[in-house]
Amino acid sequence: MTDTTPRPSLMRPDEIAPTVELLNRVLEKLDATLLGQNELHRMVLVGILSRGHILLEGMPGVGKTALIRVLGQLLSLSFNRVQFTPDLMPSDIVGSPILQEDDDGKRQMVFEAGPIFTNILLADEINRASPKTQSAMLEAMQERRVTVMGKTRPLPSPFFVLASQNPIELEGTYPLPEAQVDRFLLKLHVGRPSADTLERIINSRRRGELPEPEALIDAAQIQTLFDTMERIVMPGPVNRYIANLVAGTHPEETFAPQVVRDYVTYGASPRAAIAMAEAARAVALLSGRPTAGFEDVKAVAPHVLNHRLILNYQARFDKVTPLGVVDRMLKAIDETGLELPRGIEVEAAS
Amino acid sequence: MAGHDGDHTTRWHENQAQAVAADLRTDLIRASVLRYGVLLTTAYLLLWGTVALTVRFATGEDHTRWWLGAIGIALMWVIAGFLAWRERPSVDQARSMVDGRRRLGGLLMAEQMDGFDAWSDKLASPKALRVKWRGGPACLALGASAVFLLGGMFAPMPDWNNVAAGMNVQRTIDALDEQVQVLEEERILDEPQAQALRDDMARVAEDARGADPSRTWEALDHVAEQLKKEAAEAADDALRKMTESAAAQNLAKALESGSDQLSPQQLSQAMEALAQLTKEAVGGDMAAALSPEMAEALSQAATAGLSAETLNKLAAMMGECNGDLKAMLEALENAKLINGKLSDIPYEFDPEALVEWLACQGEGECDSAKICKACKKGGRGGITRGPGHVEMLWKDPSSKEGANFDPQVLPPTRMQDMKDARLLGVTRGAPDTEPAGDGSTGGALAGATTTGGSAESPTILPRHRGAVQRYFQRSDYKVEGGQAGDGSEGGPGDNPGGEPATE
Repeated sequence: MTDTTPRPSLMRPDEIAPTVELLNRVLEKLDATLLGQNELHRMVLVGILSRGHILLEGMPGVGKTALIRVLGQLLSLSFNRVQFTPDLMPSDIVGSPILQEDDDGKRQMVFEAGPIFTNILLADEINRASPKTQSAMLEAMQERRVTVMGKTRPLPSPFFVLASQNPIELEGTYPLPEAQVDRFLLKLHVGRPSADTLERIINSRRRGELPEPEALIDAAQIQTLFDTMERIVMPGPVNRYIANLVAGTHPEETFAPQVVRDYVTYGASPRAAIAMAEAARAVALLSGRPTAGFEDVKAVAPHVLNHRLILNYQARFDKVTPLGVVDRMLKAIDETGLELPRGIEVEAAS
Repeated sequence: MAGHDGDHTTRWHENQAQAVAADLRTDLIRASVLRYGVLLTTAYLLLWGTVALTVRFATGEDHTRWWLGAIGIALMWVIAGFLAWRERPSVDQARSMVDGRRRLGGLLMAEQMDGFDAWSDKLASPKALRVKWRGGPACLALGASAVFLLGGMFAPMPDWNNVAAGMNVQRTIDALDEQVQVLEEERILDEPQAQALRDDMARVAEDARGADPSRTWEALDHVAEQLKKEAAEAADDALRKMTESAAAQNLAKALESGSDQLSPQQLSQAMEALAQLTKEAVGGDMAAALSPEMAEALSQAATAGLSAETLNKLAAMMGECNGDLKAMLEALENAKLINGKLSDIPYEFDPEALVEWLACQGEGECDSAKICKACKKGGRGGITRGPGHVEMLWKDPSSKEGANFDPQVLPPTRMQDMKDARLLGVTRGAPDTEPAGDGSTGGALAGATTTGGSAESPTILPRHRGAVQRYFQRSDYKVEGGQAGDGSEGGPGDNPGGEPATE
């Protein structure tokens, strides 16, 4: 009796090359349009390839909205923006049935789709909306569908939520509940540009208007990207490494590093492990490889885990941030799972 | 041909990656063997050195067989190899470690998959990883344990035999043996007793190896105490006999010179007392100690009496007996078996005084026991020098300087004076206290004097007190012819006490 299970095979270089070339063009265009945020662009593209939602955190005016709008134009995706306010109601986002009169004079309830029915939804300052409105997005983000008046309507595919929140204004804000935060694949920090970048921005912008980018990818190519993502191989040791990292965020785990035991109250969920694997695949694809490696996991781990760790008060007292915890975790947990005897080290020979 | 070259390149890269992973695995095993070997060898050398040191310390013997312990080192390295082999990384772990450290993006881990050949060119011939063991402290510990082992094997050990000789037990035993010999010569110990003691001392000397010095010394101290006890008992007996013999000698001399002054009854009692004293002086067996004739004569002395010649001979015999006992005491003193100079105790009696005392005894008042008792005394008793009845007097009265003074409670009226007192000097003598002034010594009228019923109690400062006293001194008043003294403002009629101005 022979094993008829098809053996997984690696993509050939010529198969992956067009996809990588396409992604590089998108990245180049993003870098040329929005200056000084190359790493952010790369991680946003990772989120798109992973079909996950992204939470952007940064000061006002650093280009969060511009990034989303340009990305939508480059990918030929529909784009809606909702400015979240405390009086924003769920129906303002998902839509509501309205009474309409047709040509025959008959009146009937017709569903008026809200701005969530788009490919890319920019939820600006999402933490200003009330918890009721925030929770209305839970189903949409996870199930990619909306239920109104007992009728479920699917959202366009692909569907991404790119939310932003202002970290400095806490007055009149409602912090996102953990369940909703967990639904964001990545949490990216949008830093301020340097002085050189600011000078280039001043020279290339007039009245803050962005140059209109041309669409680089159509819907079919986007689907090709997703199909290519499916063929990125995740080796067993890398899978194990991701599992160790996520399990290691729980202080009750036996191999949890000391920093986790000291500062973490609750660790990351299994959804984080899935997100990390997907994001690592996307990083591998961006690098032009058919396999995801340890360095891909390390590249995405801070962005995947930093909003999923709930730290204790001791961490607040010691001024320890989630990113700091993740950084020390990556140093503490060996990628191969091999515990070398004390005093024995493996170094890369020059 | 090109395809063949491509296959060759692919195979080379694939083999190269596998070789790097295999080398890493080998290096890890090797480093682990080295680490375990050093740690186990260190522990073994410490154990080996401890055992060697302990055994040498306990037995004091050196064994050349210690070097056989080196076999254990080989055993430790075998164990180290076993432990390292048991903990060796798997091939996948080695491969993933190379992939991770060389940042190969998972390609090396996917080399078993189909299609890997197309990507082998992307593996830029991974270089080997270097396995490093930071074993400096462990090697230092190994060196220290080796030094400890050598010290345990070659360090000089104390020689317990020399330690035992250093106790000088033999010298003590020799001293004790001399004492035993003295006791044996003086017939205090018989031969079996002396021999038993010598055997005990010999056994103590043989057992004295220094392992338990206190036990040896205790045994020797016990023998010494036993010898001193025997000597003390002999000395007590000798002193008692010396007293008896000296008393017998004294009585014999007294009877020889003054028998004519005694009545027959007194003479008979004295002869009986002489026989008792002589018997006690020689230890009961007179026939063995004296001559049989002398013993016979003494036994009948109370009735038949003794001639002057016999008495003289008996006195000489008692003197010789006393001399022998004195010599024995001297021998015991010289052997340090008894303390003090017992041989120097004088036994001098006055025969004439004894005759005088015997003659004074009335009829029926003098028996042999009383005479024996009187003979053992040094004199007749009483004070023979100085007026003993005079009360003792000290030449000068003892000084109270430096002695604790008897506490004296000052009356409340003097307390106010103490506040105004000034230091004039310091003396070691007892302070002179004046008697309390007139008036009440306590209560509400404390300090009040006879002021004619006034409730006010004026306080007179010390500097004014003299003037006030002179004012009230009647004699001064009379001498002065009724004038107020020292310019006092008041006259005799102002006497606050209301007393008459003249007496």
